[in-house]
Amino acid sequence: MEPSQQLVQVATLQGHDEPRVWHVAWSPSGHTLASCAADRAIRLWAEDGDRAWACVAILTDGHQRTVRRVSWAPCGSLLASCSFDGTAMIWRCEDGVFDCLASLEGHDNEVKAVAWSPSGSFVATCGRDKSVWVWEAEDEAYEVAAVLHSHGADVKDIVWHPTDDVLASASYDDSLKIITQDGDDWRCAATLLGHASTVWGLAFSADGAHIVSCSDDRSVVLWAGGPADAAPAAAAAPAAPAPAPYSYAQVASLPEVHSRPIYAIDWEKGGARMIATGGGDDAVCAIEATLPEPGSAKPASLRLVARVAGAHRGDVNSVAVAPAERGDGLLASAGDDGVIRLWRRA
Amino acid sequence: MQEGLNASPELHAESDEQRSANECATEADPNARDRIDSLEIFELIRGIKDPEHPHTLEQLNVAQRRLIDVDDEGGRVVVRFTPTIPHCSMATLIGLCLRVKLLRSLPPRLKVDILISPGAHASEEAINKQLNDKERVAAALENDNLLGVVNQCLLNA
Repeated sequence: MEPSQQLVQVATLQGHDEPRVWHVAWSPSGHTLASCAADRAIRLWAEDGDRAWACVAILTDGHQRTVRRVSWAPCGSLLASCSFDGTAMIWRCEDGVFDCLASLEGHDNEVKAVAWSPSGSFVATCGRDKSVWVWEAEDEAYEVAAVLHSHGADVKDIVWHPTDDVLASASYDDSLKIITQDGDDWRCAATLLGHASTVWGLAFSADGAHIVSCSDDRSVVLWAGGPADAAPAAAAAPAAPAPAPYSYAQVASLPEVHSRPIYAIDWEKGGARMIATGGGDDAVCAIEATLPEPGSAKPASLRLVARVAGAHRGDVNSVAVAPAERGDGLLASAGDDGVIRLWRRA
Repeated sequence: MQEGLNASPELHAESDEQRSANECATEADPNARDRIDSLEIFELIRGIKDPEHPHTLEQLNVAQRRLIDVDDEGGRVVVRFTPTIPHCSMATLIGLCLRVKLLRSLPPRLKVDILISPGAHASEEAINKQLNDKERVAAALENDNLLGVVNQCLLNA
C-alpha cells in the first residue's frame, strides 16, 4: 500500500563544520533542539522572534572526538553528551553558555549513547566496551550505581521507560535487553531476540507498554510487555527461579522499511503517536502502530504511512519527534550531509 | 611463522585493461554525466598496498575487477575482496583501507558495501558486519595509530 501521509520540510539548520550530524534531541519543552556531530561540537537551535530557526549556542571544546549523542534532563536546563573520546559529560545550558558540571569516566572507549531517566535521578550510558553504566545523580554529583555486562558486543543505544526506572538497550549482538532495578542493584531482566543483525535504535511508547526497534536488517519490530505478575507463578512452583519482573515479546514487524540499515527510530509521546525512522537509504519514514485494546484478540500491527526519499543527501542518522508540550509534532532529522531538517505532517 | 600471516603469497600479473578511445572521450567531456563503472572503482583500489607485503592488492589478486559491482543509477557500489589465506589476520585492515580509499574518492551519493568474497575467509560474516558498521568505521578513523597504518597502505595508491 502506498504511504497515505506526507512530511513537508519546514526548515533546514546548517552550521556543523564537518559533514555528519550524528544526533538531535528536543528539550522537554520542545523549544530547543540540541545537535551533536563529527566536528566534536554540540549546538543548540531555537526559533527567533520571526519564528526562524537559528543556532543559539555552540560548544566546540567539550569533547576530544565525535560527539555521538545528547540527552536532556527532564528539568530542561541540564544536557548530557557522550563521545567517542570515552566520556559522557553533564552540562548546564543557560543563556547560550555551557557550564560543565561533571565528566562521567569509566567506559574503556567509545560511549555510543547517553540517556537521562524521566525522574532525573539517573543517567545511563553504553558503549563499544559492551557495557551499560547507570549513574545516580544527586546534588550535581554523579556516582556509579551499576555496570552491566549483559550484551555480547557494542551497545548501540539505550532508552528509559517513560515512567519507571527501567532501561532498554540495543546492540551489535542483534538483541535488545531490558534492565531493571533490583533493590540497590540493577540487572538484566530480559533478552529480546527477533532482529537478524545490529539493532541500531529503539523507543518506548508513551505508556511504556510497547517498544519499537530498528535494525541493520532493514526491519522495524514492535514489542509488547511490561512488569510481569510474579505472584501466581511463584505460588505454583516455589522451587522455580523467580520470573523476570519485566519482559517484552515481539508482536509485529515491518520488513524492508528502508533499503539500507535503519539507524534511527523515535515514537511520538503525544498527538498522533507517530513512529519515525531514518535510514542509510537517505529516507525518513513515518509508521503508524495499531495497538489492540486490552483483552482484544485483534493483533497489533505496523503500517508505513509516509516516506520521504532523499530526505537527506546521505544517511539519516537521527530522527526525533518534538515532545507533546510543543503541540505541533514537529519532526527533526539529521544526516551525513551535515544538515538538520525539520518536517511537519500534512 | 605467525599464524594468520601469509609468508609467501602468490603474485599475479597486473591487468592491462584500458578504456576504448570512445570511452576516454566521454570521460574527458565535462558535460557528459560521468557514470561510475567497475573499471573506475578498480583503478582506485588496485594500487593499495597490502599491510604485510610490498605488493599491491591487484598483484596479490586480493582486489579484482570482476569482484566489483556498480549500479550507478541506484547509487550502489559493492566491492568484494579475497584475502590470500582464509585465516588472514589483516582482512579487516585491508577492508578498512578499501573503505577509506572509496570514502575519499567517490561522491557521497554512492553507497559502498565492502565484503569478503564468499567463502574466502573463516570469519567472513564477522568481518563483513564490522566493515559495514559506519559507527565502528567512523570511530576507527579517529584512532591516529590505525589511521596512520591505513594511510601508509594508501600511499601512492
